[in-house]
Order: sequence, then C-alpha cells, then structure tokens
Amino acid sequence: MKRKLKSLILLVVLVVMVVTMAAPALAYVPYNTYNYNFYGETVGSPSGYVPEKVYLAQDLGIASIHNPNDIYVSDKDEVYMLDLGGENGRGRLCIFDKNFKLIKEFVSLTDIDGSKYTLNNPSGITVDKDGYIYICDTDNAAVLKLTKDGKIVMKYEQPGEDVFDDSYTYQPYKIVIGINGAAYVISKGCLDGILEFDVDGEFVRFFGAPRVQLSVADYIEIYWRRIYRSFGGAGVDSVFSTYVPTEFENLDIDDGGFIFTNVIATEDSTDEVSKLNFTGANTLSPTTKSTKKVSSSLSSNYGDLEIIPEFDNNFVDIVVDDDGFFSVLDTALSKIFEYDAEGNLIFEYGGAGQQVGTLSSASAMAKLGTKTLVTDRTLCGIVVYDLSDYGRTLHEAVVYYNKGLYSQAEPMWRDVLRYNSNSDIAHVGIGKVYYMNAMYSEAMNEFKLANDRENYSRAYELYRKQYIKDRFTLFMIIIVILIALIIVWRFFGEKIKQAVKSKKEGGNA
Amino acid sequence: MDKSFSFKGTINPLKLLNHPIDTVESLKEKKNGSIFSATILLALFTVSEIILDVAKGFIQNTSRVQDFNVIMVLARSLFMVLLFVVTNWGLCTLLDGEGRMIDIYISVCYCLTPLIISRIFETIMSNVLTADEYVFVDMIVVVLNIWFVCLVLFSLKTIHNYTLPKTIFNALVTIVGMAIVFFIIFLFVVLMQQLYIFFATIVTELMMR
Repeated sequence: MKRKLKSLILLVVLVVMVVTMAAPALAYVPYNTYNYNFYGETVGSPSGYVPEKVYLAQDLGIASIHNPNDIYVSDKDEVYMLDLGGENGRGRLCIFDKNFKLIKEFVSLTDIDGSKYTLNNPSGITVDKDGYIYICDTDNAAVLKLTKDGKIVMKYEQPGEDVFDDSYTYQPYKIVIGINGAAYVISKGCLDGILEFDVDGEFVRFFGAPRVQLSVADYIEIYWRRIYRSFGGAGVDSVFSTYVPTEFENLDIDDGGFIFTNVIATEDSTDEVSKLNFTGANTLSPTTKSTKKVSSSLSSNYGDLEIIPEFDNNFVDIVVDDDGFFSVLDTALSKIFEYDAEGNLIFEYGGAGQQVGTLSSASAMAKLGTKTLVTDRTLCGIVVYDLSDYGRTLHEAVVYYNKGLYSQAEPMWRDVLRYNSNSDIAHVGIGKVYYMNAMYSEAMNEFKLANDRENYSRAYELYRKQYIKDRFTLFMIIIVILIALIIVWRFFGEKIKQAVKSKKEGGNA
Repeated sequence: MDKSFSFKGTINPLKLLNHPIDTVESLKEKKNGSIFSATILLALFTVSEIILDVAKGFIQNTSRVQDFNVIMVLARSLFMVLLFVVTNWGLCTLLDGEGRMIDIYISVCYCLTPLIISRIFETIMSNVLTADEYVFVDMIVVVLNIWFVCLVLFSLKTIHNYTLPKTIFNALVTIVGMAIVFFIIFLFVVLMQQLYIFFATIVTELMMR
C-alpha cells in the first residue's frame, strides 16, 4: 500500500513537472546572434531580439502593400507607412495605431488650394511633436507638410537655382524635423550634404557632407591628370572621373538634436555612421571607441566585420531610440545592427530568408517602444521584433551604466552574465562597480575578462598602491638592508677582497 | 690551436655596455671571446625573446597565449642572427673584409647583450608599471635597440677593417642578401612541397591500380 502511494506521488510530481516545464513555448529564432570580441572574432550569444509577428496586408486591414518605402513611429505611438499601393500605384500613406489597427489610409491628399494632390513615389516620412506629417514626395520634387486629415498646409519648394547645378534634379528622399522645427532633408544624389530648411520652408544651408575618400590609385590618377593638363591636353577632365563624397542614405534625430546619418557603404567599410552636431561635425569619432578595440580599423567598423566583397554593407536606414541606442539596417545581409550610444555593438539580429523573423529585401525600419518594425519589399509586410528577456536586461543595464549609475546597473549585469558569460560590456560594468568599491583585484579580473586594458591599468595602479601600503614595513626593511650592504661594500670592499686573496695565497703556501 | 675555439671566453660581455670600443677591439685582437660563450649569449637572446612573448604583462600584451607560436619567435630571433652571420660572411669575401665566419659569429652574438637586457627589462617592467608609466620603458628599449645596431656596425668595421661608409654599405647589402636568401629558402620549400605531392600522387596511383 505504502509503495503504491509513493509511486502515485512520484507520478503526480512527474506530471506536474512536465506540464509546467512545457508551458512557456519558446519562440523559434531563425537566426544566430553573435557579438565580436576584442580580436574581432565572432562569439555566440543569446538572441537580444526575437521575431514577434509578421504583419501582411490582410492583418493590417488594407487591400495590399506594394513597395513600402518608409515607416515611422510618432511620439504618440502611431505607425505611419508610405508605400506605392493604392489605386494608381504611385504613392499612399497609411496610419496605424500601436496594435497595427488601421486608423486612416490616404490614397490622395488635399492640396493647399483645395484640389486633389497625388503623391508620386514618396520615400520619406516624419511627424513632428505637434502632429504635422512631413512627406518627401520624391518624383514630384516637393517636401509636403500636412495635417493628420491629409490637408497640405505648406510645401518646401526646391531651393533656388544658385544652389544646385543645372544638370541636377532635386529629389527629396528622407526627412527629419529638428528640435527647433527646422527640416533636414536628404536629396537623392546630392553630394553637398543634408539640406536644412527653416520653419517657413526657406532653404538655409547644406551641412555635414561626408568626407571624400581617395585610394592610392586615385592619387596616382590625380597626378597623371596634372601631367596631362600641363601638356595642354584639352578636355582631359572629361576623361577622368571626378572625386565626390558619398551621398547620405538616411538620417534620424535623437532627443538632444543630434542627427544620426549613414551612407550605404564606404571604400574601407568603416565610418558609415556619423552623429552630426549642429555644426555638422561627426561626434561619433573613432577615438571615443578605439580604446576598447585591438586596432583602430576595427573600432569604427559598423555592420558585419567579415565582409564578402560582393556583399558589402548596404545600409539603408538608421534609427535612434529614446535610450540612445542606434540601429542600422543592412539590406545586403538583411540584418539589423544595434549599437549603444558609444558605438559598441549590442545586438545583431535578422538574416536573409523566408521564415518569420528573416528578411528578403528590407527597405526601412522604425522603433515602437522596445519593438523594431522593419518593412520588406519582397515580403510586402512589416516584420516586428521585440526584445527578449536577455535583451531587455542588457538594455536596462546599459542605460544605467551610461548615466553613470554603476551600482544600480550591477544586478542587471549579473543577470546578463547568467545569460551570456561572454558579454564584454557586462564584465566592464561589473568591473567598474568593484573599482568604485575599492575592490581592485576583483575589478582587474573583470577588466581582464573583457580585454579592457585601459580600465585594467587604472585599477592596477590603485591595486599596486594598496599592495605597497599594506607591506610598507617589509619594503622599508629591504631598502634599508640594501643601503647598508652598499655602504659596507663601499667602505670595506677592498679590505674584504684583500683578506680573501691573502687567505688563498696562505692556503697555497 | 686558435683561441676562439677554446671553451671559455675571457671577457665579460657586460663590458660592451660601458667600454664598447675596447671590448670589440679586444675581441678581434686578443681573441677574448669564444664560440661557447657566444652560443650561450645567442641562446639567452632566444630565450629572452620567448619569455617576452609569453610573460609580458597584460596591459602591454594584446596577443593571447593560445596564439603563441615558438617557431615564429625562433624565426625572428635565432634564425635571423644566423642568417645575418652567414650572409655577412658570404659578402665580406666579395667586399675585401678580413673577418672569418667565427669572428663575425662571436662578435654579433656578443653584441646581442643590450638586446637581451632590453627584453628582460621589458618583461619585468610590463608586469609592474601601468599604461601611462610605460612610456619610459619604450624609450629605454628604443635606446638599447639603437645601441645594438651601433655595436654591430662598429664590430663589423673592426673585424673587416673597413671604413665607416663601407661598413654601412656592407650592412645594407647584407640585409638585401638576407632577403634574397630568404626568398631562395621559400622557393626551395615550395619546390619540395611540389616534389612531395608529385611522389605522393605516384604512390597513390600505384596503390590504387
């Protein structure tokens, strides 16, 4: 009887265990997540972002999605999507709420004079804090400011003739609104930088043009051109190529008014992302990052480090979120790379494929709280990723850490390390807590694990100080004995030598 | 019998540091050095190179222990010294040098003394000093390396009885010669590999028949 009862209890326990363990169904993640260590090698890590859902046209309450060009999430968590769907297939604006329920669909807009306005391949959209919508209507060469009812209130017309060459056609492509209401516009193929318009729609200036990159071959060619020209070769300049900076591809603005902007790819595959301040200088310079990496070439290298030549980076979108993390979308690898405010790679996620969570030809992305929305041209839908538990913990820790609240971040770093003991930034975070609590040898150990030599050196300096302080008497005794020995040798050295010599001779004799 | 072949050298290699000219000349005139002592110095140099690679402090050392390859260290220390000696000897016959191979070997090995000191010094200091303080060590190491080059040039000048310009010319040509020898060794290795593959294929072919 007792035996039966025992086995029954065992059975119940087993059943309960199996049921409870199976309960949280793990979402399948169709891509590998990794980070780069100090030596630029990939180290596997848990997924920071997991795919949540793919919203196709029928899920969103519209007939079809055709070539989504841009997606934007406003302060009120409304999702704005621009695509080429609609009746004429030249442009449409859809507004959804944060649960992806359709609020409004604009196939055409109302012009200032009340007539019907049709969009023509719109590529960029943004919304300001007052709820006005701004659209870059690329093929109509106009930037529109409209109310939420679809009524155009202002048009940013093309800058005057003296601004552009005659051969250049103005094609506004992407737009953000600065904190003072100024509009920053990227025009397709414009090499002078970002166009700035004031509140009244007047063109003010260009700013932040990327630098021109020249290879050794380019310098040789420039030299040859100079020689040709000196021999009076007319029309030489038309034979040789001209050197122009790369054009900006996309931009976003953070709460502090810094403009994050990216180019598709660069010659040496570094410095694709810049964080421009008001004067147009890049404040995301390699020097702020290189302290943690083995070489400077690794430090400002965005995207995948192992680049296959045919599949170089193809960054099409950049988004900065409220916590200062910025992400770039790479369509060549169909991946999203997320960096913290200092430019350390936090997560990469996504990948090429046709499963939930992989992308075919991603066109734009936006941040909805912790979620990432990515539009895909081939998939004709919106892919939604959300932070995993690991990702959320790491994000919180990084936010605390960047505010300087090291001790608040400590429990989160410990959690991060439970998920992923290879996380370099977690080791640095814990190391800093030890450092602040004067536990230097523990701090050194953490910094060593993270390969952070700069912080290690700082901790070591104080550790050494403490070490000598603790053994002060011993060190003093050694020094005194050494000095005494030197004095003895100086005064009695000759006598000792002679004594030894005479003893030897005495022994021989 | 020549004194150079004797077991024990009768000069302290540390004397090179404060009396370089006297020491180099006495190495030539009085044959104070010996092959045995020279070889010990060369071995010390190789060992100090290995120690530097393995035991350099964490702050200054970005390479990992698992990436350490002793053959590479031997190639850049021991092999380079021997290659220099052989090449220089080969060239000095063309450039009217007086020195014999033994003389070149002994004096080059004795000249390694500042390098040995610099490697050991670096190893100890990199474990003791912080990143900011290490600048001085770098400076001292550079000075010791320059000192080594000067010593080699001076001893070559003495051994071969050259003028200074001719010594520098000789040293530069030696470096070019080393590159050529290196190239030939490389070619030889590649050819041998080809030959090996050739015979290996024949053997496989015969076995498969």
